[in-house]
Amino acid sequence: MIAINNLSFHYKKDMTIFDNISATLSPGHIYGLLGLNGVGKTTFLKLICGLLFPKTGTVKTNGFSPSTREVTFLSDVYFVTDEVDLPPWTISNFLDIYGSLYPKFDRSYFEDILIAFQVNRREKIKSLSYGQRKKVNIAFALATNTSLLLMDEPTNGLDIPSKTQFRKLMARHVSPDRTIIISTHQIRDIHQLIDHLLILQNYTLALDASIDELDKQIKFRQGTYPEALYTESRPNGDVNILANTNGEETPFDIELFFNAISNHPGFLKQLSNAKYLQP
Amino acid sequence: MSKKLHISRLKIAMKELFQSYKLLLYTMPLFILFFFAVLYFVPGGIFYNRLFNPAAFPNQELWIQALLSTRFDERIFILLLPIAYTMILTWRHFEVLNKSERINLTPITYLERTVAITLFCVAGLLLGTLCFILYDHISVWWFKHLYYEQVLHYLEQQGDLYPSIGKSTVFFTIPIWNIGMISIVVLSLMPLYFLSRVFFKKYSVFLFWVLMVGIWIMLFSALYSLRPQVVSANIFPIRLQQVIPVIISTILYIVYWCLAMATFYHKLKEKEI
Repeated sequence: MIAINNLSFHYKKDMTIFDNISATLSPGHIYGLLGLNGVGKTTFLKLICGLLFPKTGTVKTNGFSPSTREVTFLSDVYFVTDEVDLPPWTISNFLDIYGSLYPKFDRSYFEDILIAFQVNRREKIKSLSYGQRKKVNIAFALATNTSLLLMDEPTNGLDIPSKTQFRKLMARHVSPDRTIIISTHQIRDIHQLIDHLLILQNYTLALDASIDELDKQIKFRQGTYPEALYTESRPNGDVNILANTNGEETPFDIELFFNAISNHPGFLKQLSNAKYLQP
Repeated sequence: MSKKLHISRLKIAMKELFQSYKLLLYTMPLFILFFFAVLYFVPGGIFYNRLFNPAAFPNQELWIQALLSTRFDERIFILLLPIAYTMILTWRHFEVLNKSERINLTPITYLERTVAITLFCVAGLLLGTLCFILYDHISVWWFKHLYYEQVLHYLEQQGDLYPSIGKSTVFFTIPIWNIGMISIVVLSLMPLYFLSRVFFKKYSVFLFWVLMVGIWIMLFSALYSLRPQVVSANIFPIRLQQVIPVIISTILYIVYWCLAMATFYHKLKEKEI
C-alpha cells in the first residue's frame, strides 16, 4: 500500500514538479504511470522509493517513510531504472553478492527468466548489450519477489520476442500482495498488462483510475462520430472516444486516451462521471 | 546486532567493494615496487650512473663515497602513493554512492557502507604501508649484502675505527616511528577526502586539497599562538607535547576523526539521488 498525502516537490524553488498530490495505491494491481516528457514520472517513482524526499506532504510505502531508507523497507522494494547501472562482474557474482540481501529472493526463478530471455548466466555483465543488461536487471527484479516493484521504461532496449516474454512474466508476477508501477512511453508494449492508470499533468496527478472504471464511462470506435469526445485520424481511418452510455465493452485504447488528455486539457472535465479525478 | 550494522550485510558491502576494485588493489604492490625502482634508478642518481654511466665512478672508492654521502631517506615519500592509490580505488565508488539509484536502494545501511569504505581504505593504506616496509627492508638488506663490508673496509682505511654511517643512507631502513607518524597524518586526511567526495559535486579533489591546506594552516596557526612566550628564548626546538599534552592531542585526534566520519555518514544518509 502506498499512501501519498498532499505531496509537493520541486528541484528548484521556481520549478514546481508536483503540487499537492494525494493518492492511494493498493496491492494487487499493475499501475501504468503516464505523462509527457519532463512531467516527473521518474521523480514520482523516486519519491515512492525514497531516493528523493518530499518538500511538503508525506509518502508512506508499505507503512514506512521511504526517505529513511530502512533496510526492512529496502529489502521489499526494487526499482528497475531506465539506465542500467549494474556492476561489470559476471552475472553469477552479481547474484551471489546481492541475492542474499532480499529475503524472498528466488534463485531458480532468476535462472528461468534468464533462460526465457536467452541470456547466458556465465557472461560478464560489462560484455552484454544494453538490452541484455536490461534483461538481467528485470530478471533480478522479478526474482527478488519484493512487494513493491517500480519500473521505469522497462521495455526500452528489449527485442521483440523479449517484449513478449516480458509481458508473460509480468502477467504471472502480479499477485494480491504486490504493487507494480510501470512508467513508460512504450504503452503498446504493456497496455494489456495495465489495470490502473496514473497520469501526471500540470504538476498534479490528473488521473488516478482503474481501466474498469474508465471502461464504464468511455468506449472506443472507428469511423465518423460527430458526438465523439475526442477524434484522432489514423492511416486506417478516424478513431474516436465516445461516452459509454449503453455499457458497451470495447478494448481500452490507452494510447488514444492519453493523447486525448494531452491534446485536450478539458477532456477529463468532459467525462460525465468524474468522481475519481483529482479535484 | 543492531538494524543499522549487521555483520552479514557489512560483509556484502565489503565484497561489493572488493569485487569492483580487486584488480586495482592487487596491482598496488607492483605500483609501489615500481616507484622504489624509479627512486633508486632516477636518471642522474648514483645507481643510474653506476649502471648506465660507469665513467661517473672510475674507481670503487668514489662509488663508496657516493653511497655514504647520498641521502635516500626521501623514499619515505613513497608512502604518499598508497593515499593516491586509495583515492583512485575509491573514486568510482563515491561516484556510485552519489548517483546510483540501484546502490542507494540496495538493502545495506549507510552505517554499513561507511564502515565498509573505511575498512577498505584502511586495508588499502595498510597494504601499501606493509609493502613499503617490506621493500624498504629488502632493499636495505640487498645494499648491505652488496656493499656494507666494502664500506666498513673503506672507513677503516680512512682511520675511522668506530664508523658512524648516516641513517639516511641506503644502509638504513626508514624508522618505524616516522612511518607511524605519516600513517597518522594519512588517516587524519581520510575523513576529509570522504567528506569532499560527498559534499562537492565538482572539483572535489581540488576542494579537498583546499580544505586540507586550510585546516593545516589553521591548526599550525593555533599551535603557534598557543606557544609559551618563554620558549622564544629557548634554544631547544618546540615540540607538540610542550604545547598540548599527548593524551589531549590523542583525544582531540579521535574526536576530530569521529566527528568527520559522523558528518560523512549523515551527509551520505541524507543524499537525494
